[in-house]
Amino acid sequence: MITVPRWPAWALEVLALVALAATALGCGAPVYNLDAPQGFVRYEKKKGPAFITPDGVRLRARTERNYPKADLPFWADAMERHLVARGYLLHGKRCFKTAKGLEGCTAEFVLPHAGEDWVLAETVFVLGDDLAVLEAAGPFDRYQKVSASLAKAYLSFEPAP
Amino acid sequence: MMPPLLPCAGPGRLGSIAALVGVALLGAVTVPRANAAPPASVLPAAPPAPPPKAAGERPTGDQSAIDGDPKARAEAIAKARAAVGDRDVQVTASIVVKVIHPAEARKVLIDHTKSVGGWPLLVTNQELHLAVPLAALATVVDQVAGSGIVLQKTLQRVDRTDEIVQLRAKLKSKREILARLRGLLDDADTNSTLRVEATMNQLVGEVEQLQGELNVATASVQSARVMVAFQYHQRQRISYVNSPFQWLNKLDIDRFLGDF
Repeated sequence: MITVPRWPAWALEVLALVALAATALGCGAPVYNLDAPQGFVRYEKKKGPAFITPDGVRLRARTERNYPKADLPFWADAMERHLVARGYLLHGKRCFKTAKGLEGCTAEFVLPHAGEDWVLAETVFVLGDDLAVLEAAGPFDRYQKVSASLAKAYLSFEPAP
Repeated sequence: MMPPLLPCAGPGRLGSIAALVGVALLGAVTVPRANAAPPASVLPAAPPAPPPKAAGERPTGDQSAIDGDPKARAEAIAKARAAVGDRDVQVTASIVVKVIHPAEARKVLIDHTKSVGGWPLLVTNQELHLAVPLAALATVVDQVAGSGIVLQKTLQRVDRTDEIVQLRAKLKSKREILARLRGLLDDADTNSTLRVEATMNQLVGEVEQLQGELNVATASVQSARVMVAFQYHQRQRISYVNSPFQWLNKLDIDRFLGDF
């Protein structure tokens, strides 16, 4: 007869606590630092940086896998091609370096949404095996008012140490 | 029964009148083919058909023509004007421009268009269509572009030479048939007069329709059209295509707003 060794109860409790702590600390997902753009306020309780203006222009950061592993020009090109193929109108595109020397590219697209023209701006940074994607969106005229402050805020982007 | 318009003639001419009416009817119901001259027995020689259009003369949507610097834009519009010199070319500039106050921008653009000899064709909250003299097209396009942020620009040239030549030829032939029929009324009897009148009525309707089409076609090449849209509102252009890169498929305004 084969006996299967059992974990002691205290070991299971320790494992559960470690898993809980890791989840609470956000292990497994990169955390970013990003200054609040002028005119935006921060959602403190959202996971990752998230901001909004009084008239509803939103900015949020999220993480995607850099798979297949590629560099920034590749992803910037793929993103532009995909959204243009969907019918989004490319309004502007620029690549820049953050204050910490991290390279990023922003592409702004115009699209109809809810009876208005909206802007969807996608900014991509390549961070090894991950991609940091900053997404901003809002009605065209309202977005235009804060586009400069958004561009300035992107310069402060960096992965949290 | 309608009284004859003119005194009747003898019955001996009935055969020839009937034959001419038959020819007229045939001419009235036959749709002239492209590049085909009318019958020589009825009509004078039509103007020679223009040669087939070269590839460069086909309707073109020239996004780059008015994109870029003002010099390139001026050259593109000058090229369009040059084309109008020897061909009947309809020039249409389409611009999507975002402005803060569309009503004010609309008023300024209409005033400017009137000052250069143009006029508004359509004025709505989101669109403004202008007819402008060809010589003033560049200044109006510049005025529109300067009024806000330009999202999209195209310059389209459509060669309407063939269409106008054909309309003129058809019109000429029908008018000549009409003139011949009118001459027959002098010698026709009652029955013949009625048949001639019926044919003439039909011909007059066709002549009026052709004249209207010719007027529209001629007017369209005598001035350029500037179509201004204050909104990029082509909902049908947003489609769902799949990218081989999974994360790109998540780039979507609805997903972004929903997840926020």
